[in-house]
Amino acid sequence: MLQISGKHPEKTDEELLGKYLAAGDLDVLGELYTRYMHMVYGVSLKYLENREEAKDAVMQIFEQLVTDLPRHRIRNFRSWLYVLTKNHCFMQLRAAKRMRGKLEAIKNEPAFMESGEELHPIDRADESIEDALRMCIGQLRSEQKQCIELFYDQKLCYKEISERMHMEEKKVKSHLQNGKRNLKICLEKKNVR
Amino acid sequence: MSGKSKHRNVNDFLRYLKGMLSSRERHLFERDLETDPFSREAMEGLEKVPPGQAEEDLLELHSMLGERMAGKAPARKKVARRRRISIYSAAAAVAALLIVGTVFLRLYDFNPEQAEETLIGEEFPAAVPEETDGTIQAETVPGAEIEPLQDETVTGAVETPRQEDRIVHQEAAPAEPAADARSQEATAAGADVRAPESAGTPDPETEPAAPEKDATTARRSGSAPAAPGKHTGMESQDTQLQVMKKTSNFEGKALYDRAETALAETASHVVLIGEDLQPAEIPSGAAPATGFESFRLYVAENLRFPPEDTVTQRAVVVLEFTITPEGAIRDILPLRTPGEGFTRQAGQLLLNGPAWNPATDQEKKIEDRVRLRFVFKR
Repeated sequence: MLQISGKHPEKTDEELLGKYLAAGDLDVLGELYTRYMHMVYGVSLKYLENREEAKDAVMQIFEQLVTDLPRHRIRNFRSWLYVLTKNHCFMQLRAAKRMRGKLEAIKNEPAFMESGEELHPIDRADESIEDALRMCIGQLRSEQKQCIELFYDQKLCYKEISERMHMEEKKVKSHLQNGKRNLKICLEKKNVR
Repeated sequence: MSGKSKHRNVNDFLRYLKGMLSSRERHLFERDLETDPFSREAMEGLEKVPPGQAEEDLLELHSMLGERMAGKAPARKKVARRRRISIYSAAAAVAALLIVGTVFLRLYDFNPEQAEETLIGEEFPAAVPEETDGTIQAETVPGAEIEPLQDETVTGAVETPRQEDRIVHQEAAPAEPAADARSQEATAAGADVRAPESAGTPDPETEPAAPEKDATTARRSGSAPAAPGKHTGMESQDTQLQVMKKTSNFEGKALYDRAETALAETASHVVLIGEDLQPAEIPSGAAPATGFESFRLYVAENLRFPPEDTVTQRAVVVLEFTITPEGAIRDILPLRTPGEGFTRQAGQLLLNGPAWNPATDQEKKIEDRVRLRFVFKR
């Protein structure tokens, strides 16, 4: 495993960001970026589908931080970095004319639809919506319902669910996502948000 | 740190990817993934590569970032350099392939037409006198637009016969190596039988021999293509004589191939190709004085395998020649032949056969270029 520890592990992202903006210390920015570099790499890998290009993207995004951070007022570095990463990938794909259906995929990703602060009702563990949630879960299609129940109620991991339902993990994730989307629609109809 | 889900560091991701977490830990991690699109998408990307590679890449990235923070040249240059090296390697590989391919083609004097012909006429077995009950089928090949072996040659033949002749001799040469490659020793077909310069098939110096008895396949083109055909499925129709008239537009090799295939499936031994003109305008092309049916019978009865060949079961020779306004046979050019002996036999048969009537255009006798296909078969 990687031995990564910054000089200021106790500091929040925003504290480190403020420190960097105040003194322009690249080490501080590096420490902040290190916290998310694996995620930036992962997202880049997802969209660019090329290890070298993804690594390039990680370093280019760091350079972009150096130039962009002073020009923006950033409240949530993590969310901002996420959007920055996706936009960078988007530009790369467009430059390489490899968009195909990826643009739509990117646009439809939750990050562009909801802020990081908005959790799905089922993830909020809000007891006040329990009844409505149960009712909506009951209306889901069989496979979505099963996956939701196994994951949230029985606390099984994807792998266990896939084994139990004899389907690929990818399918499990898909059913979970679709189920959650349908749940949200159902709850909104009941004025539960 | 901000955000409501627990921040998962790089080692959490790697442990998850490597399957080092318990079911309970996996579930908790996945709950975080469900609530955090950034983490979820990152995981989706990281799952695209083996965990070992992901770890290796992340280590490298940390190293590069460290160098960048230390004020060294932007680490991504290394990545770019590595990518450039990959590109150069690929380019070098492609260049090497091109060079090898070029050398190969040079060494073997590769000729696409010849290669195609070789494929098409794969079977070059010996021959045997052909039974001749065939009928002359005027045109009929679905591709009235049959493309000639040498488009320009054929086209030119109708309009400027003399010039065409010259072209024929120049252009036929490249197609000849096939025959050359397959040719065994042999003597020339006849005084009028010309071998392409590079072919070496028939010997231009040799005197024409007396007609021999063998099976034939011929093809006439008053400027039409010699169409080496696929011979599969031809057995039942080997003795048919087909006359194919082309329309005035040659459309390319594909058409030629198609027509040739159709030809091979429907025709057999004597195949004639008509002028490159619309039917209404077709001048009467050169033709045997006794008619094609009679000529076919003559060939079927007299075409013989070369004496020196006792093993070949089937062979095809395509001859192109000129019928002068006086009706003389001139400038015989073997467009396809398995060997000089076969060319000689076919050429001699032609030269010693029935007289030919010249082509006419508005009652004026004109020179015409004809292609005949002779099929030897035992």
